[in-house]
Order: sequence, then C-alpha cells, then structure tokens
Amino acid sequence: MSLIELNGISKVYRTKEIETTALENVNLSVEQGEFLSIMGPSGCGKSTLLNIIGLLDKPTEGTVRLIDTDCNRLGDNAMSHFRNTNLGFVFQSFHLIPSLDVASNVELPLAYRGGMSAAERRERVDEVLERLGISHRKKHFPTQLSGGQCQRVAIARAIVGRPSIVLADEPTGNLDSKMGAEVMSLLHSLNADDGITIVMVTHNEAQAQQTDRIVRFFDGRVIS
Amino acid sequence: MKRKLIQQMRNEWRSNLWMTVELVIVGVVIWGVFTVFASIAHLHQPPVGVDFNDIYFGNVGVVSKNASTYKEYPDTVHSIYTDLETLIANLRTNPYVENVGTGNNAIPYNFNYNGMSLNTYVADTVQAYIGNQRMMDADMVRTLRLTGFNGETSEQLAEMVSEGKWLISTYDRSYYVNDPAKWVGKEAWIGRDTTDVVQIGVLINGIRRADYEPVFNGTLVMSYPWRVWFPNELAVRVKPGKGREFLASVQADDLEFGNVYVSNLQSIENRKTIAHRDVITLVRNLSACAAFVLIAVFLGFLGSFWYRTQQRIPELALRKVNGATDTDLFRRSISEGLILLCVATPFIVGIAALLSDLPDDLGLTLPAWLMWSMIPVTLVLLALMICGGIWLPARKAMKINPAAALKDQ
Amino acid sequence: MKTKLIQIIYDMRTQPVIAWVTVIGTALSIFLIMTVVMMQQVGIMSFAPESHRDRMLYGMFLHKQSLENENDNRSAGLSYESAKKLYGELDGVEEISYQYTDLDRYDAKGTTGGKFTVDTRQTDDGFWRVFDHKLLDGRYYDADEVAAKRRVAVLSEATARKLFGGENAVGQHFELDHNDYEVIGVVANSSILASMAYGEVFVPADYDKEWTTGMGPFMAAMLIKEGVKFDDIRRQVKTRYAEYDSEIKSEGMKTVYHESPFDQEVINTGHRGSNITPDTSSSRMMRYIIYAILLIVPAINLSSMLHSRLRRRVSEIGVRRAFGCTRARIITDIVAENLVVTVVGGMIGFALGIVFAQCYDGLYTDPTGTAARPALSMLLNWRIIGIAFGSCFILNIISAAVPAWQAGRLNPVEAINAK
Repeated sequence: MSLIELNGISKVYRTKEIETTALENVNLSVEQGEFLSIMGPSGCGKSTLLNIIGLLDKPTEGTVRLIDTDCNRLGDNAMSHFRNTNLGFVFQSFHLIPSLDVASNVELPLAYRGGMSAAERRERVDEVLERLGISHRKKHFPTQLSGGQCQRVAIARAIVGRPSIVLADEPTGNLDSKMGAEVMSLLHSLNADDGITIVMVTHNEAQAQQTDRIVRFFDGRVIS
Repeated sequence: MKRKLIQQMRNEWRSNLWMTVELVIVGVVIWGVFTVFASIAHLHQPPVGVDFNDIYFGNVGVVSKNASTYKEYPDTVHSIYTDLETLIANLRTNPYVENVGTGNNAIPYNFNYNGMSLNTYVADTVQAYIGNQRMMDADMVRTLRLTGFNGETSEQLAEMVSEGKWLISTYDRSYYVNDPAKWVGKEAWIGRDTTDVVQIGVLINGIRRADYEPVFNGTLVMSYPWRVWFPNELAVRVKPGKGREFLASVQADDLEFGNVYVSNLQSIENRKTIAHRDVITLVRNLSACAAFVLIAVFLGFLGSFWYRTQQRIPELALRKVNGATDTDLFRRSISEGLILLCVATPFIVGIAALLSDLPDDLGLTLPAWLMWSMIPVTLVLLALMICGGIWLPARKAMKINPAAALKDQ
Repeated sequence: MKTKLIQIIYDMRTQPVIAWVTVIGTALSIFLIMTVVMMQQVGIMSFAPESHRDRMLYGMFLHKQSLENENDNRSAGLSYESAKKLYGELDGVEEISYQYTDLDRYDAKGTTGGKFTVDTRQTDDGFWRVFDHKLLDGRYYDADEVAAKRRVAVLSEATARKLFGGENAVGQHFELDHNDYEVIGVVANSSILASMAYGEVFVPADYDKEWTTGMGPFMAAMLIKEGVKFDDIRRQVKTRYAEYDSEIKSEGMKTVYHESPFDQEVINTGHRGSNITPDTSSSRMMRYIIYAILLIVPAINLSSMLHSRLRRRVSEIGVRRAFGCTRARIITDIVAENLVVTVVGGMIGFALGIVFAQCYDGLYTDPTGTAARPALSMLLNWRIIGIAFGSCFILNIISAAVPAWQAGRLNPVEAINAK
C-alpha cells in the first residue's frame, strides 16, 4: 500500500469571470520512505498539488488517501489533527513566526498536540535543535538568523512532531547555493536515517536529480 | 483622482463600515448631549421677579421655653416679637446693610412648594388661582426688590403688602386662571372658606423656584401679618459689592437678641449652587461622556489611518514620484475621513429624527429648531476629531521619502 | 503563557500607534465604566453604619389630595403619628426607626468655646438598632428618654473632640441650637455617604413636631427581616394607606400612594419629591445606555485595531493552521491574547478610577450636595473589581469576536502566501 495515493485529482479555481484549471486528473502514489521531487514551470499546479497532499486545500474532484486514511472524508478539525500528527511543512520563505524565538517556533506543532507536558515538549525541541545543529540559536528571534539558519529552524519545526511525511515547497528557493546544498543534505539525511517520506517541489534540476523520483508537471498534468 | 479614492475606500469597506458605524453612534450621542445642553440653556430663566445680588439670608430661630438658656420676659410688652424687632434694628445699624426683611418660604432655591389656592368671581364664575405661597413682610418685598408686571416699583408693592394686600404673579401654565390681570383689585377667599377673604393688590413678575424650572405655576405673595405669624427666614440686602465686608463685620452678638437668634447666615449664592447641583452634575457627566466618545473617534481614526498609511507607503511614494505634492497627499487622507462622515450623516439625522419624540415622552417641551440646530454642531465636532485623528498619519504620509520607500519595496 | 506574553509585547512594539490606541482606548473605557459603577455602587452597597442596605426600606412622605379638586395637593414629610400609622408594626419588619428625614445644621458650642455648625440627626431610640453605629463610650438614648424629650446627645468622635478638646465627653454639657444638652455617648465617625445614618450629633427627635395634620419632618427607616420580600411590606403599607384614607375623608382629602417604602436604589437616586412616584427604571435604563456606549464605541475601535494587527499576522495564522491548529483554536487564541491586552488596559483604567475617586470629590454627593470621598476600602470590594473585570471581558469579546472569526475562516493556503 502506498503512503500517499492520489486518484483522479482535479482542481478548478472559479472566480466570477474566469475558470482556471490548476490540476487535471492527476494520479500519483508515493511509497513509504520515498524522496520525490515535483518539477515544472511556474503556474503548472505543482504547489496546488502539494497543498492538496498537505490537506491545506481540497481537490475539486478525485480522492486523497494518506497513510491509509481517506482524507476526503475528514472534517476540518480532523484534518487539522491529521496534519499535526502526520505531516510536516517546509516553505520557500521559511514562514517562521517573527514574534516567537527559535525554540517557540520549533515547538509550534507540539503546542497543538494534546497529552504532552511542557517539559516533554521542551525536551523534544532541544533534541531536534541539537540534531540540526542550531541549539545555540535557541533563544534568538528569526530576524537575527541567516537564511540557511532560518530554513534549518523551519525543518526542525517540520520534523519535531515526528511526521511520516514532510512536504517541502521549494525549500532552497530563497537560499544561495551553499546553504541550499546544506539544506538538501539535511533533507536527505532525514529521508535516509528516519525514513521520512519527502515530497519536494523544486525548480532546481540538480537537486531533483538527487532524489528517488521526479514527477514533471505541465499545465496541471503529469507529463512524466 | 476622486474616483480612485472612492474605489480605494471600497477596498477597505469593512474597516470603513465599522468607522461609519462608530461615527453614527458617536454622532447620535453627541447630538443627544448637546441637545440636553441646549435645552438646559433654553430652560435657564432665573427667578426674574427678584434681584438677588447682594442678598444674604439666615434662619430665624427661637430658644424653646424649657431650655436652660431661655430668658423669661418680665412683662407682656416684651416677647419674641420685640426681640426680633430689636435684632433687626441692631442689624440695620451695620454700615454695610441696606435693608432687612423677614418672611417664610420667601427666598427661592429651596425647592419647597407650598401650594395655596385662592378663589374669586370673574364674570360670575368662580376661578381659582393656585400658586407657590411666599410669605413676606413689606421690608422683604423691598429687600428682594420685587417688581410689578406693569412696572410697579418694589416700594409701591411693599406699600400694598404692608396694607395686607396679596400679590399674584404671571405664570407659564396654570390650571384655571386665563387672565390673572382680571384679578387685580378683587377680593378673593382662601381655599374653601369663603369668609377668609383677602384683597389682591397687583400682578407681579413671578418668582421661580430655581433657574431651571421646566414649568412655572405662579407665585402668590402673602402679606405677612406681623406679630401674628413668626417668620423663619431673614434676608439682608447689603450695599452693592460689600458682602464680604458685611460678613466680616457681623458679630455673633448681632445675630442674637433675647430668645431670638439667626443661624446659617450665608449668601444666596450658596443655596443657588446647591439648588443647581443636579443640573451641574448632569452637565458634568454628559460632558465627560461626550468627551469620551469624541476621544474614541479621535483614537479610532488615528489608529486606522496610521495602519492604512503604513500599508500604502509604496503607493504614496509612487504618487509622490509622479508629482503629487505633500498637500495633495494630506488632503487625500483628510477627504477620506470626511467622506465617511458624509456617509454617516444621513444615519445620524435619521436616528435623531426617531429620537426627537423622546423629550415629549419625558414631559419636556423642546422647540424643534433647537434639536435640529445641534446637528451641525455635532458634525463640526466630529469633523474636527476626524481631522485631528488623521493629522498625524497624514503628516507621516507627507514625510515619506519616495526613493527610500520604493527601494524597500 | 510566557511565550504568549512575549509575542504580544513583540506584536505591540512593531505597531506602537495601534498598540497605544488599543491600550488607551481600553483604559479610558474601563476608567469611565468604573467611575459610573463606583458612583452607583457606593450608593447601594452596605457599609457601617448602614450595614444592611439590602434589607432597608424607607417610608417617606405623605401626599394628600382634595377629593374635589385634583389640583389641590399637599405633600411633605410625615409626622410621627402618621409615620406610625402607615409603617408601625408591620409584619416582617425587624427594627424600625422614626427619624427626621433631613439633617439639621445647628450651631454648637462646647467647652472649647468656639461656635460651629454641626450636622444634627434627630431620631428615636430605634435608630440605634436599625443602623450599626460603633459606640466608643457611654450609651445610646433609650425610648424613655425620647418620650420625655430629654436633652441628651450622642456625638461623633470628631465632634466630641471639637467640642471638648481632649477631655472625656460623656457627662459634659454643650449648647446645641441655643439649648443645653448632656453628652451620653460617643460613636465612631460615619461617612456622609451613609445618607440615612450619618450625623455629627444625634439627639432625640421631637415627636410632637408637625407641620400640618399628618405632615412633619419624620420618616420611618425599617430593617426588614431576612427573606421577607419588599413587596410584602408594600402590600401591607397599601392597606394602611386605605385605612388612613378613611380617616382623612372628613377633611375632604385622600392620600396618593407613591410606592413607599423605598429601597436603597430609590434613595440613591436622591429622590426627594414628596408628590411624585420615584422612577428607578429610567435612571437604570440611562445607566445601561451609558454602559453600552462606553463599551460599544471603544469596542469598535479596538476591533479595528485588532483587525489591523491581525492583518500583519495572516501568514502566521496560515502556518499555524498548516501545523495542525484548528479554526477554533485560532479563534480562542486570538480572543485570549486580546483579553490579556484588554485586562492590562483595564487595570490601568481601574487604577485611574480609584485614584480619581480618591482625588476628586465632586463625584459623590449626599442629597444636600455635600461632597464626600469614599474610603478606599469601600471601592476595593469584590463587586466593583468583579464588574471591572467583567467589563474587560465583555469589551474583549465584542471587540475580538469579528476579527477572530475572520482569522479563523482564513484559507490556510492563501494565508500562508499572504504578505
């Protein structure tokens, strides 16, 4: 059984004047432990697909199954809970919360999870920060960090809840090549050592080549 | 440019809607408060029939017979009446005193209402005059400087009172008497007892109970039968502006003679202040309320426009680059606020129209022009607050350095 | 919690004008609400010597009207006789005091020599049982002394000192309104805000004093037994009025009933019209309108300020949603965060209210218009504090409801990408 299974996914955006098809009959399955890249030109629907996998958006048609769960049937709260326990997100522009320090940013997913004491949460955050080599920045605010450090914090936030899937939307897009390479190696190690399934949207052909599989998109359709 | 401004305001419709709602509520409150103020000012009618400048008054008291300080009278000639006469005579020797009068319920601002009804025949039908009874001796009439409705001097009125005649006044509203002038010179009887007859002197200007009495029912000055009724009030008219000197010169001994004494000698102003305290309190509370809501408008516009200016820095910078002057930008911000006020105005007027029946329900008669004239006052105040609130953000907008702002972008 | 506070402070610091508008707006609103609440509460809350205001009823005034002419009216206070007839020995009354409605301002002179004016309250012996003055020395006057019109007096501590200096006052004589009185007791000073029990000198009332038939300076202050409804008392009083009507029929008069006896709320309106029915509902209505305005107008401001603050945090909200925060949690977090800000503003406002009440004495006046300052202990009671926090809470809810709801409804995808 695949970890991620998309069947006949279409996404149509409607406004008063126009109807835009972002995705058309997309079928995709991702196995446990796979590192997948999605490539394609801007506006081809790859981010929309990532959002649908991330349960942040709903497809107009088609079914989404993640980790044996029929996600089409989940209500809003159940989806929130599902995201919280099973999914991690990494964004192009990091999206760290500027008013929170590094530790609090990383702690965020745990804050929405019941049944963990503050001490346990702190322990888990320290562990992750240690692993990503940014524990010395724990008390700093995002504005005091470099781009690479920010993305490390963002990755720490994505994995602190021990999700099975991490969704990365152009994680190196805002970084120079050296820092981009660091982030990529970090993602690879998460994939290899922890068995986290990673779906990454990227423009970078070289980075995509390093992953297990590349899915190419054009105009809302999978072309390879 | 104008159309673009409105377009932009539509984009901020939610925030603008709230600000308009605020303007409407505040506008109605301000209108209400100022209408009350205006009606209070409109109601202000001092007891016109008297002259209260330089008047001091006190209570007349008598030592009771079983008190240890009571002084027995050696003969029947001396009594509390002679004591009072001596006391008054002594007071008159004070160099600052012009006149001294006595009475009962003669001095206004005490909220007493001693209703008394007189009846007489006017063209073969019995008419009743019900007025606030004020008992005065002739000197009290002189001291308070009562005036006749047809220009009679207080000296003439005092003369009538000393002859035992009663005086009746004009009024705002009365129950029975259509024309009190027809009563002049007639004999009238008190209450139901047709044998208890008094002579009506002339018509006087009424003495209101306070400056803010909504409806005045008339005054009935009752001549004071000296040595029959003992007065409880004493009024002193001092020489113009000599009140302080008078109070300083009065010794405790001047206010006592035999078994009669005067207590609480004070300026009429004291009593006036106390009598008007409820009005003062109302004005004070409503002013605080009005100030508060106006500050709220100020703060609301300050905060909202500060935020908007921040949001629009690139846009404003672009305008500057394209030749808009500082004044243009300033005017643009201000007109945005004033357009909101224009939107709010019909609602304020509408609600005011709905509320304009309220005073009637409360028994107040307010002229309609008075209520409507407060609408422009309200709008001007709101406009001032809006401009005040927008002033700071607008100045900030003017100070934008276009180059820096666009580079940031 | 600490994280939340840091975040709030950060948030406020990045938008100082909006933060100031929020805090000042809240503080001002709570300050004014507090002032109105305190003015109202001081008028109805219990404190010594009026420790049972919730159980007090005051039978005041008599209004007679001619049977033939309804414009022929006479109204004034009660005489001792009529007070007894209308209010004496009612079922459910624990204690009753017949006392003069108003204080008398009399001249007093003691061994210290100088003459000064004292607020004199004239009462019967029941007064000391209805109200709980604190006796410091000597004793109160009893029923026999009142009946015998003995010239004895109970003084407040301050008056005793003023009259006799440091000497022991009990047993001394002084002159009050040109009469000789013997001091038999000294009580603790009372606040002028206790409008029915306050006094500087207390003397037996002259029960013969009568203006005209049935009318005089008296009223009946009644302490009602616990659990007895005020309306039960009023129903009995109505029957007494009917009896009194038949008594004065021969004078050609009848009574007009004005819902006496009055409770503390009526007393607090400063009701002094002997010929009108007190109207507490309109003053209550007025108060509610004032509360509503004081809450709604700033709430609109606070709401737009919060809206502005949240607009800068849209992407944060999106990220939180991505990491599993539910809509409800977004809403409750915003409301809670706003509550913190409101409470801070509220505490400033509350403090201002207290300071203002302590420094400005024009707010609280007794019916004669004498200004008074309530003691701090009176203002810092659980009820006033409760209302302050309740107001903050309401202000918070109405100001945060719409922005929080909007934030909860944000589409996470759009939110994350919003700038």
